[in-house]
Amino acid sequence: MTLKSLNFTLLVVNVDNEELSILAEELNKKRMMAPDFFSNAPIVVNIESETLNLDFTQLKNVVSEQGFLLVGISGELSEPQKALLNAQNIAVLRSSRRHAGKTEVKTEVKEQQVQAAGVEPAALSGYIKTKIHTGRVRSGQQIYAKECDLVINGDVGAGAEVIADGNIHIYGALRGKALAGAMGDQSALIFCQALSPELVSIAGVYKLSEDLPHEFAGKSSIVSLQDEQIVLTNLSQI
Amino acid sequence: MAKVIVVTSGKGGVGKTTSSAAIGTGLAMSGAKTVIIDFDIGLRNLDLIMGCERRVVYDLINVINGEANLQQALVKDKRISDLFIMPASQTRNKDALTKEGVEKVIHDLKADGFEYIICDSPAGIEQGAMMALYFADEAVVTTNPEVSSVRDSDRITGMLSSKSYRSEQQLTPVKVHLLITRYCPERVEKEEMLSIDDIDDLLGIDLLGVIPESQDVLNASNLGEPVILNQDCDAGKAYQDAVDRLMGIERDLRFVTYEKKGFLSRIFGG
Repeated sequence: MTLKSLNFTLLVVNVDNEELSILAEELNKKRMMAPDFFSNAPIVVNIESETLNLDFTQLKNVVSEQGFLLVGISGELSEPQKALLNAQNIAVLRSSRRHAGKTEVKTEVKEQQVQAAGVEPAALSGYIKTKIHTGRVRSGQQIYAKECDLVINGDVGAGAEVIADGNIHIYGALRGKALAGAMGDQSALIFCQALSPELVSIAGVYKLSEDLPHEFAGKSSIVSLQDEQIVLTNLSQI
Repeated sequence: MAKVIVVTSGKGGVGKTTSSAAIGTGLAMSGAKTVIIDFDIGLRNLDLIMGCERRVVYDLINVINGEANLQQALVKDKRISDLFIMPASQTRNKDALTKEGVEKVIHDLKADGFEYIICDSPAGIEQGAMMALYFADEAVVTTNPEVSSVRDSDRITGMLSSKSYRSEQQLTPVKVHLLITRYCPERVEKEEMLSIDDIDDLLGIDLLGVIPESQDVLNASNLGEPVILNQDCDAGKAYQDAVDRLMGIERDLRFVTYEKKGFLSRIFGG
């Protein structure tokens, strides 16, 4: 038995409103995108402002009712709120992004861990091998690349689904659904050689084929997310 | 080495049973001992298409349940000496099919010297269809030139590569062949129907044959005569080509282009 420290990528939902029904709706939407993958998925609730007067017990219930597991709460919390969370056995997490100023200290800690735990260097640098699928993805098949990019060497048929926490590269036609940045990475991209999808989604923002501009139909394209909008660009023009 | 070939499609009414009957008959005509098993428990049709419905006593489920032995359930064809039919039960439902039961039947058929075991799959992706494809070495995916049929074929092809014995044991994958039925070159020309190229683009499966839309197919079914026995009609010839290709003989595609009738042939009815 060894005690060590590892990094995990977690789904984070931002809460900027006291109305918990909105949260429930958001979570439900996310879950419906891939019920299998999000069932009992660990999730962190990030509170946008400490002025929000939230009932944390209720919040925990909302999260579990939607089929997610609440790992903890992060974000702007007042001291009394933290005390309340501690009393209710809900973990208070500090996101590394919000405390950029403390990076120096963090690196130091990390280096100590290297010596202590002796983990493989590849795992430490955050390198996770891209998941590669060779051959056609057929109707009814679902391929998920957890915490990494996904390469499909073949067509993705209508009725098939390819999902990745990172980018998705399709060396073939995309006729089914492609969901990149499934854990919320808004910088994730979808590349494909012939775009005629049923749906494309990045970090939960999605567009159906009928909402996509026609000039990209059947063309090699990049799908990206800019200002919360799905944007298409021509792959060959870059 | 005996071969288990499933004739499947996902979608109903595209010609699985007609194709099973024609392909099974064609293989038997070449002198190979062949059996066609009807997996459509509760909705059996194969015996009608083969014209042996009056001679069915026992069926596949009886054999699986040990109520009859293999020889009692096999119906021998009256036209082709090497052809046998294993009918489905009309009174049970598809849950009566068990993996162990089907495995034993197929094993016993192989031991009995059958060279080709053709499994006529029911429509859908439920128990009956899964059992029909589970032990397959090769598959004939039957498709009509229209989008819903093509998509269902795509789905069932995915099942063949993930839910079959060969995939679960990580053996050589099931060899999948595409059989396009009810093809009408005239309507393809008018862009009212998917072309062979369109289907190939969507499915990417090796083409086994293209059966033209023909009244002869329905007539043959009504008569209980597999259409391949009628070598005067295009559909019969096209099925013969498909059977030849299945046995590794190269055949050019026929009946896939539309020829406008010329002036003379219109007058003389050529």
